[in-house]
Amino acid sequence: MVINSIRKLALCGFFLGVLFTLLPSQIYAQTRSTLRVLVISEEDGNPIIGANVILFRKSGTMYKAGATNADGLWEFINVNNGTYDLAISSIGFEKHEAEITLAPGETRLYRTELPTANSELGEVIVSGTRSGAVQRVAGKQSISVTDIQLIPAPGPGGDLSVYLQTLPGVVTSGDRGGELFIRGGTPAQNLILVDKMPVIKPFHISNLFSAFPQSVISNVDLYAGGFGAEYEGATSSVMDVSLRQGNMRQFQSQVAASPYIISALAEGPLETDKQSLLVMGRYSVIEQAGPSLTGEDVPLKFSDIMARYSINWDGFTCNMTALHTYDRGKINPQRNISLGWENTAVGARCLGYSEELKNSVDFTIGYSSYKSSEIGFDDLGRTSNISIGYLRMDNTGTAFDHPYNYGFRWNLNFYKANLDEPFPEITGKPQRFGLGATLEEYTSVFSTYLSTEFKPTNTLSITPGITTQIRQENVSMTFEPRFRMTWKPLGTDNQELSFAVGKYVQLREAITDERDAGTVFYVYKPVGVDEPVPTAIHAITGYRQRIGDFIEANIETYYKHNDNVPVAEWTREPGNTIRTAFATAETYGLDLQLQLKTDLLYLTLGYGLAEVEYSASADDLVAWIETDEFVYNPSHDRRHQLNILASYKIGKFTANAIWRYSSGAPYTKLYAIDLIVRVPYQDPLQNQGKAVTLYSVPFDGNLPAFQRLDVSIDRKFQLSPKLELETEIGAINSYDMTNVFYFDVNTLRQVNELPMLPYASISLNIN
Amino acid sequence: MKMISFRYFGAVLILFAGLSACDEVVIEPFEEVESAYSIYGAMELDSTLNYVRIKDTQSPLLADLEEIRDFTVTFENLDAGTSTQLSDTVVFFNNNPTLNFIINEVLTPRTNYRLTVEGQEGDVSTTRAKTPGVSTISLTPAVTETCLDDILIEFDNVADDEFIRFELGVQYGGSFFFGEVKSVRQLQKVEGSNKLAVVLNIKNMLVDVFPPVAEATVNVPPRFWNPTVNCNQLDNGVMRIRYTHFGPEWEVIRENTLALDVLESGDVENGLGFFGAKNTKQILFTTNGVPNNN
Repeated sequence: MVINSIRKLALCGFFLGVLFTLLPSQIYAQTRSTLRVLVISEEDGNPIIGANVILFRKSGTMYKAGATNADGLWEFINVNNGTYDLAISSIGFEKHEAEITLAPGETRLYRTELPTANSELGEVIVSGTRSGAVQRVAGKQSISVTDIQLIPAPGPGGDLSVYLQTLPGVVTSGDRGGELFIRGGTPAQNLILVDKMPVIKPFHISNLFSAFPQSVISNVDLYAGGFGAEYEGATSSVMDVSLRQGNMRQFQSQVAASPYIISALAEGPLETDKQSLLVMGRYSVIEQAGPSLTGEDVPLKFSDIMARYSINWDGFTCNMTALHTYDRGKINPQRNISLGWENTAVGARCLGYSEELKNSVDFTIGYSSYKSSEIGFDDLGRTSNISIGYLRMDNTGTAFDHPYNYGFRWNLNFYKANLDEPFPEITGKPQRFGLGATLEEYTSVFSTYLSTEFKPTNTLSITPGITTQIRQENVSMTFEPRFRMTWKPLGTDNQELSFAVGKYVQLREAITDERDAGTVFYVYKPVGVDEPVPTAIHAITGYRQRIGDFIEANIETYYKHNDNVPVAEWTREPGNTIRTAFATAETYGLDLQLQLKTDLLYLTLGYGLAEVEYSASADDLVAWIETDEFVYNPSHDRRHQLNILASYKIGKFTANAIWRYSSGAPYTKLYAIDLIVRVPYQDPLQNQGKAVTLYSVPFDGNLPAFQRLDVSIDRKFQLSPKLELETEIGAINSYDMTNVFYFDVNTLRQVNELPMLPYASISLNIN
Repeated sequence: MKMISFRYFGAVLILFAGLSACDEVVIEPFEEVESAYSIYGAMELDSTLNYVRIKDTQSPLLADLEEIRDFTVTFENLDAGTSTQLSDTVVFFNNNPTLNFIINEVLTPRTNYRLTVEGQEGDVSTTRAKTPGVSTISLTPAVTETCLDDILIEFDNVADDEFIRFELGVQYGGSFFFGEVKSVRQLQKVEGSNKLAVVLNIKNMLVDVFPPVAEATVNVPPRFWNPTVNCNQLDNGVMRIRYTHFGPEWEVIRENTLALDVLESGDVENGLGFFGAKNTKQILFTTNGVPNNN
């Protein structure tokens, strides 16, 4: 066994060596130059994301363009030597122009600070850099703090979780549970990165909150599918969250409170323009305030704390982040089931871009853990934990006059679970997940990627890529080609076509009793070496059109095909041994977004039409349905979704309203509820009998449609030059609609989402 | 532009106000083709008090007593043409009530009975059971000298659609142990008669009371199996045979006593469960092959 492990590690090392040896970082004529542009905010010394960076020839024609990334950096590679006009612009900042002369083979770092602008200036927009509801490019949506602020949330400021739920194609399990289903995929099929740290479940038990309030977010890239080669290990979506640095110039703090949550934030320079520290903590109070506000118990408790140390040297920046989330509660107050989970992530990410480096280097290392528990069901307790040690490196280079990106990842994963009681065959207690009493497994996954961009014309961009993953256990390698394309037929940003296709493989799976919506407990485990591997094919087409000065529309169609999706075996009764079968999932969908934006009004309409269909062999899946193949729509198949968001500035006030509608979720009707007395061996006077809930055909019913109107109005008060007060009042579910969370088959009672929740929040910002 | 923006915003607010008038929908959790009631009962022919558990399959497990007590139960003797409305007795398990209806009458052999449950909304479940005949057991010889002496065990008056299961009971270590006799040989119909018979010795029957370890049975015919407690280890030579004469409804377990799937037996029309009748008796017999170890 030792020899085998050494052999496998040697193979991994060899592959890495091949990657870095046969792919030289530069194969290009010595006359080509590299220009790195770093854009900083003059006010707080922090990077500006999405700033447009354009190189114009001296003749006035545009030569190259890009937009700064989460680190405020954009890199022009393979630039002909000569003199150019550099233009940098970003909404809310003054425009910057400068003349740049590049010598043959030179690598230059150009750093600039943009002062805040008093009025918005016209700017040339680079594709994919603006945020907003319609800014989708083949499944990718960039979400800014401005977008998040528009959505009413019962806590101070906005939250990413609430914003995500307004997007067509994003389905939640209700107003609690912390689960997001994106374009037909399950929560376990999503990859969530926080500054490249993998975090399993950063959404709180109340779906109105996540670990990402607007106050700490820099930018979020959401790939609802069709993501590129730089992401691996997920078969549905990727959420790449970038946190901001602490203020490099001045100390700031904020304390805020609402009936749902209290929070505090402090940040400031440890060394001006060099080092900063940001610390934020939040704690829920809805369990205490809920009964008086809603008239019913709200047994939900959550908190999160985040610390971020940032250091900026010349040509080099590092961010060290620590994050901890905590959630406990009963998502069904009528049942004695307590769910809980915690995330802990610690990581360091360093970006090197100095002139001494021929290519910029992005390096991340860290540790992330996830612990979850379910206590109370059948009077048993269960836990499922994952610990991940990770290391990743991303690099850029050129080959044959084309830029390319490449990198590698190494994840060490440790899975541990305690399920039910030991020796259930002796105690008579059921084994709910069919995995035995305990699970303890370790896996090592090494992955690499390579992608390049072709730009035959200024309006057409083609990005093919390839991703591979290698499991140490059997040295099997996946082959995951990816392809993305964008095209602006008119040569302007007013119109854009996009396309993405790819293959995706996931080496981890999560099992739950999906028939019991009263629980969100998953058992996480690695895909066994002898088990079929979950695999997906995505295809997305998109079209965006700007109409006049104020209206923009975006339409996307998508298709996902998933193989080997683990689903719970369909016995007649829940609570018996539940083993997994493998289903095939097909998702077809269309998302339409319309946006109207003026100085005072921001109006969006989003419509999603989708169908999610699972199919599995009846022999594998179902014990009692007499067909060869069973086809059904799972509970996250919400056929229609409609969201209307309106935000209007009235003087110093901003009024926001969002109305959401979605089709009811499929659920499984009942055939009968019974107590089975095993005559003649059991006497009905002495034995209660075995409680069983007999299901009818799976998911053949539909819960009522969901709709909800959330409203808010906010205003800021400048109390003094250093003191600002933000106030907001509003109501979640303002017309008190009864929305069904799920139907409890044990009590035959429907469990509803929260009724109208009025709130008032205040935030005090101290500079 | 300001006025246009305001008009758009106002229109949206009016739309939202209108949407607030939408009606709510009530969930219907059960499929339309329903199973009304579940019936579980095994009537004992010689007992004048038998109990039948009945439950509305559309009431929740945690329902209150008032919620579950909304039906009537009728017990009919189809051969005699008599009918009785049954009363119930409530038994609580973990504070959860169950309804058990009392059949308080003398049952006659080979008689057809029908149990009908009817709800207030006219939903009906019904089931039938035919009582078995009364059989007697004879042992030849009545007393054996050793545990290896063959005994002819006969049960008479067993109709073709009825069957017998019997157990041997012995005293060991101060306690009584019973085991269904099935491993070595099965009861067989005596041709041309209504008897079931089998030839066994006490050692054969002890195999089912004290089964041998699995390794000892591999590739060994059952008649050579050795029980884990031998004859000479028993407390005394007084043995019991407890036998149950099953009526025709018990066909589902004729081959395998563990096979009664009450959910799929089909015994209850428009319902779930199982309702049948049986006749259980017990006799004593002795063997001189057991030293008195008391």
